[in-house]
Amino acid sequence: MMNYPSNTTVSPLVQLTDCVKVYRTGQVHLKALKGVDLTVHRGEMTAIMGPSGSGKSTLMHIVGLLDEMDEGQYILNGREVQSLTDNEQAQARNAEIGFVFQSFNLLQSANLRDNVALPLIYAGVPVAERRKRAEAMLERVGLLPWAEHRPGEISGGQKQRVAIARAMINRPSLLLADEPTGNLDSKSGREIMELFVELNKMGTTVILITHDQEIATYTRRILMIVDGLVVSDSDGVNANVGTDLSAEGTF
Amino acid sequence: MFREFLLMARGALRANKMRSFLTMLGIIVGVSAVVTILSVGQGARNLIMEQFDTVGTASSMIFSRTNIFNSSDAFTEEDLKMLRSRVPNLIRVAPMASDTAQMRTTRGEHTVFLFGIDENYDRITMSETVSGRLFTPRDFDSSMARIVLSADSAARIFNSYNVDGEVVTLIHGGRYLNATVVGVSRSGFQKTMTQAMPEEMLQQAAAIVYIPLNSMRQLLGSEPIIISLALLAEDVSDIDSVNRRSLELLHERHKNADREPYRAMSLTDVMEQANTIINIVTIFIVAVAAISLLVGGIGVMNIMLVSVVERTREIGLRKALGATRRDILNQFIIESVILTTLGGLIGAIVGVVIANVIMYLTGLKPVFTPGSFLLAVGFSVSVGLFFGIRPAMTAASLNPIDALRNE
Ligand SMILES: Nc1ncnc2c1ncn2[C@@H]1O[C@H](COP(=O)(O)OP(=O)(O)O)[C@@H](O)[C@H]1O
Ligand SMILES: [Mg+2]
Repeated sequence: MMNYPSNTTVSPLVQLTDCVKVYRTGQVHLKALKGVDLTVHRGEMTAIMGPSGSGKSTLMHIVGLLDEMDEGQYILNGREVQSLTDNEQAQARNAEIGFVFQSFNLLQSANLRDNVALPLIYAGVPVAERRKRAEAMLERVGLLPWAEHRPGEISGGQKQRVAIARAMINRPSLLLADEPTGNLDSKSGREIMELFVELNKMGTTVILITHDQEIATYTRRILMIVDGLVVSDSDGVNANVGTDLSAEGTF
Repeated sequence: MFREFLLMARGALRANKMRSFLTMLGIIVGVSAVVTILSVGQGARNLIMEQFDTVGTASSMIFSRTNIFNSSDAFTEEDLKMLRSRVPNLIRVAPMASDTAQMRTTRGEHTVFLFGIDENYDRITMSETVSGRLFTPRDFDSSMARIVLSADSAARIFNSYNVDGEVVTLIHGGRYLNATVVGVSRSGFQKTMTQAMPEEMLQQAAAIVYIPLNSMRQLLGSEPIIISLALLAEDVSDIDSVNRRSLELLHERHKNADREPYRAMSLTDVMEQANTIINIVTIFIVAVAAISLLVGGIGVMNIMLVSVVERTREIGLRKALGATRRDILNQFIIESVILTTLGGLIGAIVGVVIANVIMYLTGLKPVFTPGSFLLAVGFSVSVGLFFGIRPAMTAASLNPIDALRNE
């Protein structure tokens, strides 16, 4: 059972136009995004690459409704995001978006099952079903035997799999990952990437940020951001400045 | 959803057991103080009520504010006759004469307070027999002196209540009178009314000795001085009019209306006075406890604010996963309400225990007042709500990504 609305086939899942984000800290105004366009269709798997500080995370936060932009328009799943109330945005984060962080962000005081089930609390799912679904997700990522353990007792790769299980538990249409392999060794990183590919094959739209050229090969589409602008898009349609790949040399 | 918040709060409070306990301490102290004082106060009130019950509510006493010895203000047999015949709704009047004397016993010699009474006295004051017997009508006419000791006096002098049969010698102004103790009595009336007795007399006396007026006359070799009158009205509602009329007539007869030396005191007055004192003490302590609760509440707010800062990342994560402002608000308010409610419950239990210990030590009967229990717990719930809102709002208004970024 997927949460897709009826117009799935027509409109893109993510349609961000002319996105500007300015960070204001005291006197300093830092323009992190300088007019980014991004269109992602259902079922796509996209890698966002670019040097450190180029605005990748900022873009991801805006796409994931974790932060607000200063200018531009964002249509998520056919709905204009700026017109959503606080509660509707929270609901969209809960039902439509799964977020995976570089630093896992698991609750240390809760066991793995409760960590995975966390989004279901805010979806109003009864406790018995939460348990059942969390265990099913843990089984899919191969961690069911660890359900009662705390995050402190497992490895980084395992933590990230728990985080992915948590991101997927409410069956989001969009899975976002900000350098999900950044804290992992290359073997665990590969396993995590294979998990993303598998989830994508099953229909989830995936956008992930990575530094790693090798990781990016898992995706069909690569978007390059430099200094707050999209400089290249292997899809060809989204680039602000043609296909200038000069920035590639930096990593 | 509420269940989830309860579980979250439990987890958070358990994660920091010592801190949670210290935070609750202010509430525990405040609530236990309130519960203690309210139930001890109620116990004290009940004690007064009990005395009141044993005495009968319709009695009162008339006494003089002036030094009645060697004064024309002293009461006389004629006063008694006049009151009996002229005060409506007055059922009984008893003279109470008094003087001090020396009492020689097997246990030594003591200064005692003689309380000369007639056959009406026990009927008005409903004295209770502790051992032996009270006076019978024959004792009042007998040439053999018989006395009754107050329970306190018997205990003080003989270390026992079982003193009937003891023969003592009363000495006054060089005159001697042998008397037999026939019993020991306790009287709520006497206990309450001694408050209205001439202070200096009571101070010297080690004991209170009840003696028939006749025998007292024999000992003194003169007419005993009646220092007060005990009155019994038909009904409680008649006390005021009986007292007023009696005072009028007495002032008239003694031609001292200009000085108004006489005062009437009914048990209801005594009770009201005592109640007033208890209430003032109660209000004072409850006020102190309320301040302690307030301080406790500020402590809770402080800790909750710290907790919000410490758990910023958790809040950011919860928001990223779909928690609304209200979810976060509820989570933190429930946490602080649980903190104070738990403190309130512990405080209430501690209060009940302390109250029982105090009552055990003072001999008051323990009273459990569910009202004060509910009040205290209800109050601590409100404290949690009131002081929890501010930190919870801080938490709820955090921007998810700012919160997540927080290290
Ligand atoms: N909260 C913030 N406040 C101020 N500046 C920020 C903040 N977050 C990011 N920046 C700045 O915005 C720019 C883009 O940052 P970010 O999106 O994190 O880059 P990336 O993820 O590509 O490394 C950087 O210059 C960074 O220093
Ligand atoms: Mg980044």
